[in-house]
Amino acid sequence: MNHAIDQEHEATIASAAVHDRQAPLTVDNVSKSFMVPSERVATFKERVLRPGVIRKHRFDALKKVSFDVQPGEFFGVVGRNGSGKSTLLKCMAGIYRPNTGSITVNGRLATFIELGVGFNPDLNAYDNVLLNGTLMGLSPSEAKSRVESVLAFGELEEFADLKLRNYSSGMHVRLAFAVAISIDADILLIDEVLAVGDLAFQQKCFDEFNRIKESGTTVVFVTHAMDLVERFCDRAMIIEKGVVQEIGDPAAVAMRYEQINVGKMADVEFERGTHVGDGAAEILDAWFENDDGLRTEETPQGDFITLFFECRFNVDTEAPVLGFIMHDEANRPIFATDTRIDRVETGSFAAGQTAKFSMRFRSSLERGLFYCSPSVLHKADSRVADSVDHACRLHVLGPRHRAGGVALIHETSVVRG
Amino acid sequence: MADGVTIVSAGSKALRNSSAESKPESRRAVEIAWVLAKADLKQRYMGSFFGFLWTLLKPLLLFGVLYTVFTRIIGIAEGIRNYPVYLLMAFTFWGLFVEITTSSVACLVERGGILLKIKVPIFSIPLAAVIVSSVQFLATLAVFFGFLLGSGVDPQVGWLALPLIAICVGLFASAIGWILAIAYVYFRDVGPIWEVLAQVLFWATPIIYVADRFGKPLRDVLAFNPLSPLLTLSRRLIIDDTAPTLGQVYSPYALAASALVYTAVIVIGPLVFKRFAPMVTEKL
Repeated sequence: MNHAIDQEHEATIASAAVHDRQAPLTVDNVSKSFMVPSERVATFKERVLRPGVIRKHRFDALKKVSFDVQPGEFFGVVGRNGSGKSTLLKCMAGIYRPNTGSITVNGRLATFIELGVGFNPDLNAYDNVLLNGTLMGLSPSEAKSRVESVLAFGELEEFADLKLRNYSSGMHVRLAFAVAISIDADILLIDEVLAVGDLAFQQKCFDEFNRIKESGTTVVFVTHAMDLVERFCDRAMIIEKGVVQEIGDPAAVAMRYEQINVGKMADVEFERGTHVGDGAAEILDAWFENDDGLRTEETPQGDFITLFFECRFNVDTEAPVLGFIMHDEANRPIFATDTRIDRVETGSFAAGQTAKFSMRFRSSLERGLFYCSPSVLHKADSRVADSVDHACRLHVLGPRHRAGGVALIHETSVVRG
Repeated sequence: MADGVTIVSAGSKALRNSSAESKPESRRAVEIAWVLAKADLKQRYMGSFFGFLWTLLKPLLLFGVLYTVFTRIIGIAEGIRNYPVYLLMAFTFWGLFVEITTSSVACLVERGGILLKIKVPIFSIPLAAVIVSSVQFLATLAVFFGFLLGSGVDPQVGWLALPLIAICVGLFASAIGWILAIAYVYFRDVGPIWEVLAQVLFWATPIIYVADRFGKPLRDVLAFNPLSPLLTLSRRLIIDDTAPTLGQVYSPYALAASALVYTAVIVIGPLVFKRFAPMVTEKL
């Protein structure tokens, strides 16, 4: 009991010390651009033979990025491929030099863009630990003194003299990871190194992540995997086209990420289909409106939203049936209804008259994209007067995608038997 | 990883550090170069006796061929005292020069995998190449020394100058190597271009011949290559104390020009490297 109190006391002191420190990492107004030549001149010969000016265009990978990371924070940087997150990581690591702005690092910084940098397959594990450890920031003598514990952590003691060439890929990763975690730094920059390895190994990484998090080390974690950000990060930043979109609570950032990535996550994005029907009616427009009466293509999960579509009748029509079907990103039907099912009297329309269909509903849908395909049918024989596939779409924003298409209103409980 | 406050920012002062903190940066460059060089040497020679033997045999074989061709067939050696020893010495120094320069050319690109993943003092990469070449040179130097002692050349005070001349050659080669390494990042045909230039330089350097073989104007022209006076000097100091002195072989103007070329190269080399090194990672 006493022991526990002591530990708690120590923890308080440690955290107080942490808060006294300055921000371990401050990124201030950093911009980075690359000059991309329209044609690549890779040889001296080409340069001499065609001495003309090579047209270049500027690619702005980062535009005035500013943020700071607090002591002990697990800070996530999310962005899609090409969003600039890797450039930002390289600038923070000191690999690239920013064009403007500054990056201030307080303390020892270690970068993990890749595991096992500099590994030489022709050398044994011992030499590779020295090599990799020194590159990662240890002094050669520090690296030497840690070889034993690194090999022990990787459970590779008996293979210390084996050339890396003869290692299995699993052993290789274990060794690289063991070196990586032996590097003690105040700030860790971690790229998506977790993409490697099998599930068991990934779990080990996650355990290690939790340990790092609890030890109070400041971590900047760069990834495109939103679920990892939600799982580990205290705070996150989303970057798109080199511009910071949002910094804050991981859940809020996740929602913004969804918004930016609307439809880009789906394998296929459905185009608005063409009119199909005998032409007795024509669907003019289809859209969603929120409760403020504004047209929108997105809604937070659980909010009320109204589907509208408008159609014009080209011939006199008696009691047409107006309805729609909703599909998800994978084109699975989610919901369908029409005026006949809902027993709504439509009445008769003369040629040239229009009608507006609406359905207000609570968006109890899973996070993702949903498409609506409205249709107008003849009452007598259900012939299609007009229909348009995927005429409008709705992006439902939610904190986390579970599975399926519908977010049931639910309660969860476990009763011990 | 860097201790203390590190500020990376745009502008000329890329990495603002107080002078006290910039010292570990250069020490770290040396540490990393040393570890990389050691790994490189281990990979080449550990557990492979023939690998090591081959690095010694390669220059010796070439030396043997040249020796045979130029003494038995062409007769260039006539009138040169201790010609075989001179040839081997010149060849050893040339080996240092050509090893450093050719191994420097592609070093930054070959180590791109490291440079793009971790912040490493970029200078450590060509430095590692220089260390590896120097260690190999020391091995061939030992062979040369054995040959020197066995050949009956009287020991001279001038032998003490040998390390100094080696350092001069090494510095010169390193400075060229740094320029080449940067150039190669931008233009990938610098590799083959340098191979050809090195061939030309080989024949423009008094290795298989001695400088005073030629008439006055040609000698002076060849002196623009700083390796020429260096080898002429070492011939006098190490092989044959009756050989003509630098002043006897070259005109003062030629020597001044040679010194100027030498100084220019060892000044410009580091400057070019320093200027372009921060941009290297973007071009890899």
